[in-house]
Amino acid sequence: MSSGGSDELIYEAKLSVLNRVDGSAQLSISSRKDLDEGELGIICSITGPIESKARQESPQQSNLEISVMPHIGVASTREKLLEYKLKLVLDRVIDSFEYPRQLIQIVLQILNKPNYEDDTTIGSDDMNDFFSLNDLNGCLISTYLALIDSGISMKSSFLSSCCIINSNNQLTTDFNKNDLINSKSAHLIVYDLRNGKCNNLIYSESIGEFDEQIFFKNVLDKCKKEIENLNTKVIKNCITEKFKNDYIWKA
Amino acid sequence: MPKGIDVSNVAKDFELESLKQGLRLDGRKLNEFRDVEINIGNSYGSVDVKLGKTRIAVRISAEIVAPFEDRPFEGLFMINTEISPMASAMFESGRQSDEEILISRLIEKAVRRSNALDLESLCIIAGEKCWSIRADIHYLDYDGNFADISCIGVLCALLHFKKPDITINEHQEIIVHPINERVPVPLSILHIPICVTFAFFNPNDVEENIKGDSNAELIVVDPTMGEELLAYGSLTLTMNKNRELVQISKAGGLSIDAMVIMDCSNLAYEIACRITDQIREAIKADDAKRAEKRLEIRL
Repeated sequence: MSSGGSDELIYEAKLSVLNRVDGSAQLSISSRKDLDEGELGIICSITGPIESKARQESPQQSNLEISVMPHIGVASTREKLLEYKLKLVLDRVIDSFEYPRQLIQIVLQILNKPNYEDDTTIGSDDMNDFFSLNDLNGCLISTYLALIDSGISMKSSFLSSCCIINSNNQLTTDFNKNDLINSKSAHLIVYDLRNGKCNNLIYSESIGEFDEQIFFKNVLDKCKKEIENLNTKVIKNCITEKFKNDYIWKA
Repeated sequence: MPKGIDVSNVAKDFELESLKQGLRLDGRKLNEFRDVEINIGNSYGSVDVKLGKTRIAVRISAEIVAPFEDRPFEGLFMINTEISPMASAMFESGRQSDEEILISRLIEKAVRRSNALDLESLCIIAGEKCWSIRADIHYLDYDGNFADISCIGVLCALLHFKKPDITINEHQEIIVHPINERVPVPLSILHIPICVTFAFFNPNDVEENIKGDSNAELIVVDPTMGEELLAYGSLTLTMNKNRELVQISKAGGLSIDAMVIMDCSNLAYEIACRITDQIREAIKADDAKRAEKRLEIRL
Protein backbone atom coordinates (compact mmCIF):
# COMPACT_ATOMS: atom_id res chain seq x y z
CA MET A 1 0.00 0.00 0.00
CA SER A 2 1.44 3.31 -1.03
CA SER A 3 0.63 5.91 1.55
CA GLY A 4 1.59 9.48 1.90
CA GLY A 5 0.13 12.76 2.61
CA SER A 6 -0.20 16.23 1.43
CA ASP A 7 0.33 18.77 4.17
CA GLU A 8 -3.16 18.23 5.44
CA LEU A 9 -4.66 14.91 4.43
CA ILE A 10 -3.40 11.34 4.62
CA TYR A 11 -4.01 9.34 1.47
CA GLU A 12 -3.45 5.61 1.18
CA ALA A 13 -3.77 4.02 -2.21
CA LYS A 14 -3.10 0.68 -3.82
CA LEU A 15 -3.58 -0.49 -7.38
CA SER A 16 -4.42 -4.00 -8.68
CA VAL A 17 -6.17 -5.15 -5.53
CA LEU A 18 -8.76 -7.38 -7.24
CA ASN A 19 -8.26 -10.44 -9.45
CA ARG A 20 -11.36 -10.82 -11.62
CA VAL A 21 -11.50 -7.31 -13.07
CA ASP A 22 -9.27 -5.45 -15.52
CA GLY A 23 -8.38 -2.60 -13.21
CA SER A 24 -8.89 -1.87 -9.54
CA ALA A 25 -7.78 0.53 -6.85
CA GLN A 26 -8.36 0.96 -3.15
CA LEU A 27 -8.15 4.38 -1.60
CA SER A 28 -8.55 5.82 1.85
CA ILE A 29 -8.51 9.47 2.83
CA SER A 30 -8.26 10.53 6.44
CA SER A 31 -7.81 13.79 8.23
CA ARG A 32 -4.58 14.56 10.06
CA LYS A 33 -6.45 16.57 12.66
CA ASP A 34 -8.48 13.80 14.17
CA LEU A 35 -7.38 10.26 13.46
CA ASP A 36 -10.17 8.83 15.58
CA GLU A 37 -12.78 10.18 13.24
CA GLY A 38 -12.08 7.38 10.81
CA GLU A 39 -11.45 7.47 7.12
CA LEU A 40 -13.27 7.54 3.83
CA GLY A 41 -12.51 4.19 2.22
CA ILE A 42 -13.42 3.36 -1.37
CA ILE A 43 -12.60 0.48 -3.67
CA CYS A 44 -13.06 0.86 -7.41
CA SER A 45 -13.14 -1.81 -10.09
CA ILE A 46 -13.15 -1.43 -13.85
CA THR A 47 -13.99 -4.10 -16.39
CA GLY A 48 -13.61 -3.19 -20.00
CA PRO A 49 -13.72 -2.70 -22.83
CA ILE A 50 -16.15 -5.65 -23.01
CA GLU A 51 -19.07 -6.62 -25.22
CA SER A 52 -22.02 -4.38 -24.52
CA LYS A 53 -25.70 -5.25 -24.40
CA ALA A 54 -27.33 -4.51 -27.76
CA ARG A 55 -29.61 -1.82 -26.39
CA GLN A 56 -26.80 -0.10 -24.47
CA GLU A 57 -24.29 0.12 -27.25
CA SER A 58 -23.48 3.37 -29.06
CA PRO A 59 -22.27 3.05 -32.65
CA GLN A 60 -19.14 5.19 -32.44
CA GLN A 61 -18.04 5.27 -28.86
CA SER A 62 -17.87 3.18 -25.73
CA ASN A 63 -20.62 3.17 -23.20
CA LEU A 64 -19.91 3.84 -19.51
CA GLU A 65 -21.79 1.90 -16.88
CA ILE A 66 -21.11 3.36 -13.44
CA SER A 67 -22.47 1.96 -10.20
CA VAL A 68 -21.84 3.39 -6.77
CA MET A 69 -22.62 1.11 -3.84
CA PRO A 70 -23.05 2.57 -0.37
CA HIS A 71 -21.36 0.94 2.65
CA ILE A 72 -24.74 0.45 4.34
CA GLY A 73 -28.03 -0.30 2.64
CA VAL A 74 -28.86 -0.40 -1.05
CA ALA A 75 -28.16 2.26 -3.67
CA SER A 76 -30.70 5.10 -3.62
CA THR A 77 -31.22 8.36 -5.52
CA ARG A 78 -28.19 9.75 -3.70
CA GLU A 79 -25.94 7.17 -5.35
CA LYS A 80 -27.67 7.71 -8.70
CA LEU A 81 -26.79 11.42 -8.49
CA LEU A 82 -23.19 10.54 -7.68
CA GLU A 83 -23.09 8.22 -10.69
CA TYR A 84 -24.43 10.97 -12.91
CA LYS A 85 -21.81 13.47 -11.73
CA LEU A 86 -19.04 10.91 -12.12
CA LYS A 87 -20.20 10.29 -15.68
CA LEU A 88 -20.00 14.02 -16.43
CA VAL A 89 -16.33 14.02 -15.52
CA LEU A 90 -15.40 10.62 -16.95
CA ASP A 91 -17.03 11.29 -20.33
CA ARG A 92 -14.55 14.14 -20.71
CA VAL A 93 -11.44 12.19 -19.80
CA ILE A 94 -12.00 8.65 -21.12
CA ASP A 95 -11.07 8.31 -24.76
CA SER A 96 -14.41 6.72 -25.60
CA PHE A 97 -14.03 6.86 -29.40
CA GLU A 98 -11.18 4.40 -29.04
CA TYR A 99 -13.63 1.62 -28.13
CA PRO A 100 -16.71 1.83 -30.36
CA ARG A 101 -19.71 -0.35 -29.37
CA GLN A 102 -17.93 -1.52 -26.23
CA LEU A 103 -18.87 -1.29 -22.61
CA ILE A 104 -16.72 -0.02 -19.76
CA GLN A 105 -18.10 -1.10 -16.42
CA ILE A 106 -17.09 0.89 -13.36
CA VAL A 107 -18.12 -0.19 -9.86
CA LEU A 108 -17.37 1.90 -6.81
CA GLN A 109 -17.89 0.34 -3.42
CA ILE A 110 -17.76 2.65 -0.45
CA LEU A 111 -16.20 0.67 2.39
CA ASN A 112 -15.80 3.14 5.24
CA LYS A 113 -17.07 6.57 6.11
CA PRO A 114 -15.86 9.04 8.73
CA ASN A 115 -17.63 8.44 12.07
CA TYR A 116 -19.26 11.84 12.18
CA GLU A 117 -21.52 10.90 9.31
CA ASP A 118 -23.46 8.64 11.68
CA ASP A 119 -23.75 11.46 14.18
CA THR A 120 -27.37 12.55 14.12
CA THR A 121 -26.63 15.81 15.96
CA ILE A 122 -25.03 17.38 12.88
CA GLY A 123 -27.36 15.81 10.35
CA SER A 124 -29.08 18.25 8.01
CA ASP A 125 -29.68 18.50 4.28
CA ASP A 126 -26.64 20.72 3.83
CA MET A 127 -24.48 18.24 5.70
CA ASN A 128 -25.73 15.37 3.58
CA ASP A 129 -24.91 17.37 0.46
CA PHE A 130 -21.47 17.89 1.84
CA PHE A 131 -21.00 14.17 2.56
CA SER A 132 -21.94 13.48 -1.06
CA LEU A 133 -19.36 16.01 -2.20
CA ASN A 134 -16.72 14.31 -0.08
CA ASP A 135 -17.73 10.90 -1.47
CA LEU A 136 -17.52 12.22 -5.01
CA ASN A 137 -13.99 13.42 -4.32
CA GLY A 138 -12.94 9.94 -3.15
CA CYS A 139 -14.78 8.27 -6.02
CA LEU A 140 -13.02 10.43 -8.61
CA ILE A 141 -9.53 9.81 -7.26
CA SER A 142 -10.07 6.06 -6.94
CA THR A 143 -11.62 5.85 -10.41
CA TYR A 144 -8.60 7.65 -11.85
CA LEU A 145 -6.28 5.11 -10.23
CA ALA A 146 -8.38 2.17 -11.38
CA LEU A 147 -8.48 3.57 -14.94
CA ILE A 148 -4.69 3.68 -14.98
CA ASP A 149 -4.56 0.13 -13.67
CA SER A 150 -6.98 -1.07 -16.35
CA GLY A 151 -4.98 0.48 -19.17
CA ILE A 152 -8.02 2.17 -20.68
CA SER A 153 -7.09 5.02 -23.00
CA MET A 154 -7.57 8.47 -21.47
CA LYS A 155 -7.44 11.91 -23.02
CA SER A 156 -5.84 13.40 -19.94
CA SER A 157 -5.01 12.74 -16.32
CA PHE A 158 -7.32 14.23 -13.76
CA LEU A 159 -7.58 14.59 -10.00
CA SER A 160 -9.94 16.24 -7.60
CA SER A 161 -9.88 17.99 -4.28
CA CYS A 162 -12.45 19.11 -1.75
CA CYS A 163 -12.15 22.15 0.52
CA ILE A 164 -14.29 24.12 2.95
CA ILE A 165 -14.43 27.79 3.91
CA ASN A 166 -15.17 28.68 7.52
CA SER A 167 -16.81 31.79 8.90
CA ASN A 168 -13.43 33.63 9.07
CA ASN A 169 -12.95 33.07 5.33
CA GLN A 170 -10.20 30.55 6.00
CA LEU A 171 -9.81 27.63 3.65
CA THR A 172 -8.89 24.08 4.52
CA THR A 173 -8.91 20.68 2.84
CA ASP A 174 -8.50 18.92 6.19
CA PHE A 175 -11.61 19.13 8.30
CA ASN A 176 -13.09 17.39 11.30
CA LYS A 177 -16.58 17.45 12.74
CA ASN A 178 -16.19 20.89 14.33
CA ASP A 179 -14.83 22.46 11.15
CA LEU A 180 -17.82 21.14 9.30
CA ILE A 181 -20.27 22.62 11.76
CA ASN A 182 -18.55 26.02 11.47
CA SER A 183 -18.17 25.95 7.70
CA LYS A 184 -19.92 28.36 5.37
CA SER A 185 -19.36 26.63 2.08
CA ALA A 186 -17.76 23.55 0.57
CA HIS A 187 -16.23 23.08 -2.87
CA LEU A 188 -15.19 20.21 -5.07
CA ILE A 189 -12.75 21.00 -7.86
CA VAL A 190 -11.55 18.68 -10.63
CA TYR A 191 -8.58 19.60 -12.80
CA ASP A 192 -6.89 17.80 -15.63
CA LEU A 193 -3.15 17.48 -15.25
CA ARG A 194 -0.39 18.18 -17.73
CA ASN A 195 3.26 17.57 -16.75
CA GLY A 196 2.22 17.30 -13.12
CA LYS A 197 0.58 20.73 -13.16
CA CYS A 198 -3.12 21.56 -13.09
CA ASN A 199 -4.23 22.56 -16.56
CA ASN A 200 -7.95 22.91 -17.30
CA LEU A 201 -10.78 23.03 -14.84
CA ILE A 202 -13.00 20.04 -15.68
CA TYR A 203 -15.65 20.17 -13.03
CA SER A 204 -16.56 22.28 -10.06
CA GLU A 205 -19.33 22.00 -7.54
CA SER A 206 -20.06 24.18 -4.55
CA ILE A 207 -22.57 24.25 -1.74
CA GLY A 208 -23.28 27.05 0.72
CA GLU A 209 -22.71 30.80 0.50
CA PHE A 210 -19.44 32.21 -0.75
CA ASP A 211 -17.77 35.15 -2.46
CA GLU A 212 -17.02 35.09 -6.17
CA GLN A 213 -13.61 36.62 -5.51
CA ILE A 214 -12.65 34.09 -2.87
CA PHE A 215 -13.76 31.26 -5.12
CA PHE A 216 -11.80 32.27 -8.19
CA LYS A 217 -8.67 33.20 -6.31
CA ASN A 218 -8.36 31.26 -3.08
CA VAL A 219 -10.47 28.14 -3.60
CA LEU A 220 -9.05 27.29 -7.00
CA ASP A 221 -5.49 27.96 -5.80
CA LYS A 222 -5.94 25.91 -2.66
CA CYS A 223 -7.39 22.96 -4.56
CA LYS A 224 -4.71 23.22 -7.27
CA LYS A 225 -2.04 23.01 -4.63
CA GLU A 226 -3.68 20.03 -2.96
CA ILE A 227 -4.12 18.22 -6.29
CA GLU A 228 -0.49 18.78 -7.31
CA ASN A 229 0.66 17.63 -3.88
CA LEU A 230 -1.49 14.53 -4.08
CA ASN A 231 -0.14 13.79 -7.54
CA THR A 232 3.54 14.04 -6.65
CA LYS A 233 3.42 12.57 -3.15
CA VAL A 234 0.93 9.72 -3.52
CA ILE A 235 -0.35 8.99 -7.01
CA LYS A 236 3.05 8.84 -8.72
CA ASN A 237 4.44 6.51 -6.05
CA CYS A 238 1.62 4.05 -6.27
CA ILE A 239 1.70 3.99 -10.07
CA THR A 240 5.46 3.37 -9.97
CA GLU A 241 4.87 0.55 -7.51
CA LYS A 242 2.26 -0.99 -9.78
CA PHE A 243 4.55 -0.96 -12.81
CA LYS A 244 7.39 -2.38 -10.77
CA ASN A 245 5.14 -5.31 -9.88
CA ASP A 246 3.96 -5.71 -13.46
CA TYR A 247 7.52 -6.00 -14.74
CA ILE A 248 8.84 -8.09 -11.88
CA TRP A 249 10.20 -10.78 -14.25
CA LYS A 250 11.76 -8.36 -16.71
CA ALA A 251 14.98 -7.48 -14.90
CA MET B 1 -23.13 -8.84 -22.56
CA PRO B 2 -20.86 -10.02 -19.74
CA LYS B 3 -20.78 -13.76 -19.98
CA GLY B 4 -19.95 -16.55 -17.63
CA ILE B 5 -16.56 -18.10 -17.95
CA ASP B 6 -16.24 -20.98 -20.43
CA VAL B 7 -13.72 -23.69 -19.67
CA SER B 8 -12.07 -25.53 -22.54
CA ASN B 9 -12.23 -29.33 -22.71
CA VAL B 10 -8.48 -29.58 -22.32
CA ALA B 11 -8.54 -27.55 -19.11
CA LYS B 12 -11.48 -29.61 -17.87
CA ASP B 13 -9.72 -32.92 -18.50
CA PHE B 14 -6.54 -31.64 -16.94
CA GLU B 15 -8.25 -30.51 -13.77
CA LEU B 16 -10.28 -33.71 -13.42
CA GLU B 17 -7.24 -35.86 -14.05
CA SER B 18 -5.22 -34.03 -11.44
CA LEU B 19 -8.07 -34.30 -8.94
CA LYS B 20 -8.11 -38.06 -9.54
CA GLN B 21 -4.47 -38.06 -8.49
CA GLY B 22 -5.35 -36.09 -5.38
CA LEU B 23 -3.87 -32.82 -6.60
CA ARG B 24 -5.48 -29.39 -6.83
CA LEU B 25 -4.37 -26.51 -8.99
CA ASP B 26 -3.62 -24.32 -5.98
CA GLY B 27 -1.56 -27.03 -4.29
CA ARG B 28 -4.04 -27.89 -1.56
CA LYS B 29 -5.06 -31.38 -0.49
CA LEU B 30 -8.63 -32.39 -1.39
CA ASN B 31 -9.80 -32.01 2.22
CA GLU B 32 -7.97 -28.78 2.94
CA PHE B 33 -9.83 -25.52 3.63
CA ARG B 34 -8.15 -22.33 2.48
CA ASP B 35 -6.68 -20.05 5.15
CA VAL B 36 -9.14 -17.50 6.44
CA GLU B 37 -7.88 -13.95 6.93
CA ILE B 38 -10.02 -11.74 9.16
CA ASN B 39 -9.44 -7.99 9.35
CA ILE B 40 -11.49 -5.97 11.78
CA GLY B 41 -12.10 -2.33 10.92
CA ASN B 42 -12.29 0.80 13.02
CA SER B 43 -16.03 1.04 13.51
CA TYR B 44 -18.10 -1.61 15.26
CA GLY B 45 -19.38 -4.36 12.99
CA SER B 46 -17.03 -3.67 10.12
CA VAL B 47 -15.11 -6.75 9.06
CA ASP B 48 -13.15 -7.72 5.94
CA VAL B 49 -12.60 -11.40 5.25
CA LYS B 50 -10.38 -13.13 2.73
CA LEU B 51 -10.51 -16.79 1.78
CA GLY B 52 -7.70 -17.27 -0.69
CA LYS B 53 -8.54 -14.82 -3.43
CA THR B 54 -12.20 -14.59 -2.49
CA ARG B 55 -12.79 -11.39 -0.57
CA ILE B 56 -15.78 -9.74 1.11
CA ALA B 57 -16.51 -6.79 3.37
CA VAL B 58 -19.34 -6.94 5.90
CA ARG B 59 -20.91 -3.90 7.53
CA ILE B 60 -23.48 -4.15 10.32
CA SER B 61 -25.84 -1.29 11.12
CA ALA B 62 -28.70 -0.84 13.57
CA GLU B 63 -31.75 1.39 13.71
CA ILE B 64 -34.91 1.58 15.79
CA VAL B 65 -38.12 0.60 14.00
CA ALA B 66 -41.58 -0.82 14.77
CA PRO B 67 -41.63 -4.64 14.97
CA PHE B 68 -43.83 -6.84 12.77
CA GLU B 69 -47.38 -6.92 14.08
CA ASP B 70 -47.48 -10.71 14.38
CA ARG B 71 -44.16 -10.78 16.25
CA PRO B 72 -44.31 -7.99 18.82
CA PHE B 73 -41.51 -9.40 21.01
CA GLU B 74 -38.91 -9.78 18.28
CA GLY B 75 -36.49 -7.43 16.60
CA LEU B 76 -35.63 -7.46 12.92
CA PHE B 77 -32.59 -8.91 11.21
CA MET B 78 -31.84 -8.50 7.53
CA ILE B 79 -28.96 -9.75 5.42
CA ASN B 80 -28.26 -7.99 2.16
CA THR B 81 -26.41 -10.14 -0.34
CA GLU B 82 -26.18 -8.16 -3.54
CA ILE B 83 -23.32 -9.25 -5.76
CA SER B 84 -21.96 -6.43 -7.91
CA PRO B 85 -19.88 -6.86 -11.09
CA MET B 86 -16.89 -5.92 -8.93
CA ALA B 87 -16.60 -9.56 -7.84
CA SER B 88 -16.67 -10.81 -11.43
CA ALA B 89 -18.24 -9.64 -14.68
CA MET B 90 -20.45 -12.74 -14.64
CA PHE B 91 -22.59 -11.06 -11.98
CA GLU B 92 -24.76 -8.39 -13.56
CA SER B 93 -25.65 -5.30 -11.60
CA GLY B 94 -29.32 -4.87 -10.74
CA ARG B 95 -30.26 -8.42 -11.67
CA GLN B 96 -30.05 -11.48 -9.48
CA SER B 97 -28.51 -14.51 -11.11
CA ASP B 98 -29.56 -18.03 -10.06
CA GLU B 99 -26.26 -18.43 -8.27
CA GLU B 100 -26.82 -15.26 -6.33
CA ILE B 101 -30.26 -16.43 -5.17
CA LEU B 102 -28.77 -19.76 -4.09
CA ILE B 103 -26.06 -18.04 -2.08
CA SER B 104 -28.42 -15.61 -0.38
CA ARG B 105 -30.81 -18.44 0.59
CA LEU B 106 -27.93 -20.46 2.01
CA ILE B 107 -26.81 -17.54 4.16
CA GLU B 108 -30.37 -16.78 5.15
CA LYS B 109 -30.88 -20.34 6.38
CA ALA B 110 -27.47 -20.65 8.01
CA VAL B 111 -27.48 -17.41 9.96
CA ARG B 112 -30.99 -16.01 10.23
CA ARG B 113 -33.18 -19.06 10.46
CA SER B 114 -30.78 -20.93 12.71
CA ASN B 115 -31.40 -18.20 15.31
CA ALA B 116 -27.75 -17.30 15.57
CA LEU B 117 -28.84 -13.80 16.50
CA ASP B 118 -31.26 -13.67 19.44
CA LEU B 119 -34.12 -11.61 18.02
CA GLU B 120 -35.99 -11.32 21.32
CA SER B 121 -33.10 -9.43 22.87
CA LEU B 122 -33.65 -6.75 20.24
CA CYS B 123 -37.10 -5.86 21.57
CA ILE B 124 -37.28 -2.44 23.26
CA ILE B 125 -41.00 -1.81 23.87
CA ALA B 126 -43.15 -4.83 22.96
CA GLY B 127 -45.19 -4.22 19.83
CA GLU B 128 -43.92 -0.66 19.44
CA LYS B 129 -40.19 -0.33 19.13
CA CYS B 130 -37.37 -2.73 18.44
CA TRP B 131 -33.88 -2.77 16.96
CA SER B 132 -33.49 -3.63 13.34
CA ILE B 133 -30.08 -5.10 12.59
CA ARG B 134 -28.85 -5.05 9.03
CA ALA B 135 -25.86 -6.91 7.62
CA ASP B 136 -24.58 -5.71 4.26
CA ILE B 137 -22.24 -8.13 2.55
CA HIS B 138 -20.12 -6.52 -0.16
CA TYR B 139 -18.59 -9.08 -2.49
CA LEU B 140 -15.29 -7.68 -3.71
CA ASP B 141 -13.47 -10.55 -5.33
CA TYR B 142 -14.63 -13.96 -6.48
CA ASP B 143 -12.69 -17.17 -6.37
CA GLY B 144 -15.37 -19.62 -5.36
CA ASN B 145 -17.14 -20.45 -2.14
CA PHE B 146 -19.13 -17.28 -1.45
CA ALA B 147 -21.39 -19.21 0.93
CA ASP B 148 -18.71 -20.14 3.47
CA ILE B 149 -16.96 -16.79 3.47
CA SER B 150 -20.26 -14.89 3.82
CA CYS B 151 -21.18 -16.97 6.83
CA ILE B 152 -17.81 -16.36 8.48
CA GLY B 153 -17.99 -12.65 7.66
CA VAL B 154 -21.51 -12.10 8.96
CA LEU B 155 -20.92 -14.00 12.20
CA CYS B 156 -17.64 -12.24 12.86
CA ALA B 157 -19.22 -8.85 12.20
CA LEU B 158 -22.24 -9.64 14.41
CA LEU B 159 -19.92 -10.68 17.26
CA HIS B 160 -17.96 -7.48 16.84
CA PHE B 161 -20.89 -5.11 16.48
CA LYS B 162 -22.11 -3.03 19.41
CA LYS B 163 -25.33 -1.07 19.39
CA PRO B 164 -25.70 2.20 21.30
CA ASP B 165 -27.07 1.94 24.83
CA ILE B 166 -30.66 3.10 25.38
CA THR B 167 -32.84 4.10 28.29
CA ILE B 168 -36.59 4.55 28.43
CA ASN B 169 -37.84 7.52 30.44
CA GLU B 170 -41.12 7.89 32.34
CA HIS B 171 -42.98 9.08 29.21
CA GLN B 172 -42.07 5.87 27.43
CA GLU B 173 -39.64 7.76 25.25
CA ILE B 174 -36.44 6.08 24.08
CA ILE B 175 -33.17 7.91 24.67
CA VAL B 176 -30.28 6.68 22.53
CA HIS B 177 -26.89 7.35 24.12
CA PRO B 178 -24.12 8.01 21.59
CA ILE B 179 -21.19 5.60 21.65
CA ASN B 180 -18.81 8.19 23.13
CA GLU B 181 -21.23 8.93 25.95
CA ARG B 182 -22.00 5.44 27.21
CA VAL B 183 -20.39 2.07 26.59
CA PRO B 184 -22.29 0.41 23.74
CA VAL B 185 -23.89 -3.03 24.12
CA PRO B 186 -22.91 -6.13 22.16
CA LEU B 187 -25.53 -8.27 20.43
CA SER B 188 -26.55 -11.54 21.95
CA ILE B 189 -25.27 -14.32 19.69
CA LEU B 190 -26.62 -17.74 20.62
CA HIS B 191 -24.27 -19.91 18.58
CA ILE B 192 -21.81 -19.59 15.72
CA PRO B 193 -22.91 -21.55 12.66
CA ILE B 194 -20.14 -22.15 10.12
CA CYS B 195 -20.76 -23.29 6.55
CA VAL B 196 -18.45 -25.77 4.89
CA THR B 197 -18.95 -26.43 1.19
CA PHE B 198 -17.92 -29.59 -0.65
CA ALA B 199 -17.79 -30.03 -4.41
CA PHE B 200 -18.31 -33.45 -6.02
CA PHE B 201 -16.63 -34.72 -9.15
CA ASN B 202 -17.33 -37.88 -11.04
CA PRO B 203 -14.14 -39.67 -12.10
CA ASN B 204 -16.06 -42.36 -14.06
CA ASP B 205 -18.30 -42.20 -17.12
CA VAL B 206 -21.66 -40.43 -17.48
CA GLU B 207 -23.65 -43.52 -16.49
CA GLU B 208 -22.30 -43.16 -12.99
CA ASN B 209 -23.98 -39.72 -12.70
CA ILE B 210 -27.40 -41.36 -12.74
CA LYS B 211 -26.82 -44.68 -11.02
CA GLY B 212 -24.07 -43.67 -8.65
CA ASP B 213 -23.56 -47.09 -7.08
CA SER B 214 -19.80 -47.12 -6.89
CA ASN B 215 -19.35 -44.27 -4.36
CA ALA B 216 -16.17 -43.28 -6.11
CA GLU B 217 -16.93 -39.55 -6.21
CA LEU B 218 -14.09 -37.18 -5.64
CA ILE B 219 -14.89 -34.86 -2.77
CA VAL B 220 -13.23 -31.48 -2.63
CA VAL B 221 -13.52 -29.06 0.29
CA ASP B 222 -13.81 -25.30 -0.23
CA PRO B 223 -13.87 -25.26 -4.05
CA THR B 224 -12.29 -22.38 -5.98
CA MET B 225 -14.10 -20.81 -8.90
CA GLY B 226 -12.44 -23.16 -11.38
CA GLU B 227 -13.54 -26.18 -9.37
CA GLU B 228 -17.06 -24.83 -8.91
CA LEU B 229 -17.44 -24.46 -12.67
CA LEU B 230 -16.52 -28.11 -13.25
CA ALA B 231 -18.21 -29.76 -10.27
CA TYR B 232 -21.20 -32.05 -10.79
CA GLY B 233 -22.75 -31.13 -7.51
CA SER B 234 -22.11 -29.39 -4.25
CA LEU B 235 -23.01 -29.90 -0.63
CA THR B 236 -23.05 -27.19 2.02
CA LEU B 237 -23.07 -28.31 5.64
CA THR B 238 -23.62 -25.74 8.36
CA MET B 239 -22.46 -26.74 11.81
CA ASN B 240 -21.54 -25.15 15.10
CA LYS B 241 -19.09 -26.04 17.81
CA ASN B 242 -21.80 -27.83 19.84
CA ARG B 243 -21.87 -30.56 17.17
CA GLU B 244 -25.25 -29.34 15.96
CA LEU B 245 -25.97 -29.71 12.29
CA VAL B 246 -27.81 -26.54 11.28
CA GLN B 247 -28.29 -27.12 7.59
CA ILE B 248 -27.62 -29.60 4.83
CA SER B 249 -27.98 -28.20 1.37
CA LYS B 250 -27.21 -30.51 -1.51
CA ALA B 251 -27.34 -29.06 -5.00
CA GLY B 252 -26.50 -30.72 -8.30
CA GLY B 253 -27.24 -34.08 -9.85
CA LEU B 254 -24.68 -36.50 -8.48
CA SER B 255 -26.22 -38.91 -5.99
CA ILE B 256 -24.24 -39.22 -2.80
CA ASP B 257 -24.29 -42.07 -0.31
CA ALA B 258 -25.43 -41.26 3.23
CA MET B 259 -22.19 -42.60 4.69
CA VAL B 260 -20.20 -40.21 2.52
CA ILE B 261 -22.23 -37.35 3.93
CA MET B 262 -21.41 -38.62 7.44
CA ASP B 263 -17.71 -38.48 6.60
CA CYS B 264 -18.17 -34.98 5.21
CA SER B 265 -19.91 -33.91 8.43
CA ASN B 266 -17.02 -35.14 10.54
CA LEU B 267 -14.59 -33.16 8.46
CA ALA B 268 -16.92 -30.13 8.47
CA TYR B 269 -17.06 -30.27 12.27
CA GLU B 270 -13.28 -30.09 12.53
CA ILE B 271 -13.14 -27.15 10.13
CA ALA B 272 -16.02 -25.38 11.88
CA CYS B 273 -14.28 -25.71 15.25
CA ARG B 274 -11.06 -24.27 13.89
CA ILE B 275 -12.79 -21.33 12.21
CA THR B 276 -14.92 -20.61 15.30
CA ASP B 277 -11.76 -20.39 17.39
CA GLN B 278 -10.18 -18.13 14.83
CA ILE B 279 -13.18 -15.78 14.86
CA ARG B 280 -13.21 -15.68 18.67
CA GLU B 281 -9.49 -14.92 18.71
CA ALA B 282 -9.82 -12.13 16.17
CA ILE B 283 -12.60 -10.52 18.24
CA LYS B 284 -10.60 -10.94 21.43
CA ALA B 285 -7.50 -9.37 19.91
CA ASP B 286 -9.54 -6.39 18.72
CA ASP B 287 -11.19 -5.97 22.14
CA ALA B 288 -7.78 -5.93 23.78
CA LYS B 289 -6.55 -3.35 21.29
CA ARG B 290 -9.55 -1.12 21.97
CA ALA B 291 -9.16 -1.45 25.75
CA GLU B 292 -5.53 -0.41 25.47
CA LYS B 293 -6.50 2.59 23.37
CA ARG B 294 -9.15 3.66 25.90
CA LEU B 295 -6.60 3.39 28.69
CA GLU B 296 -4.17 5.55 26.72
CA ILE B 297 -6.78 8.24 26.27
CA ARG B 298 -7.61 8.22 29.97
CA LEU B 299 -3.94 8.56 30.90
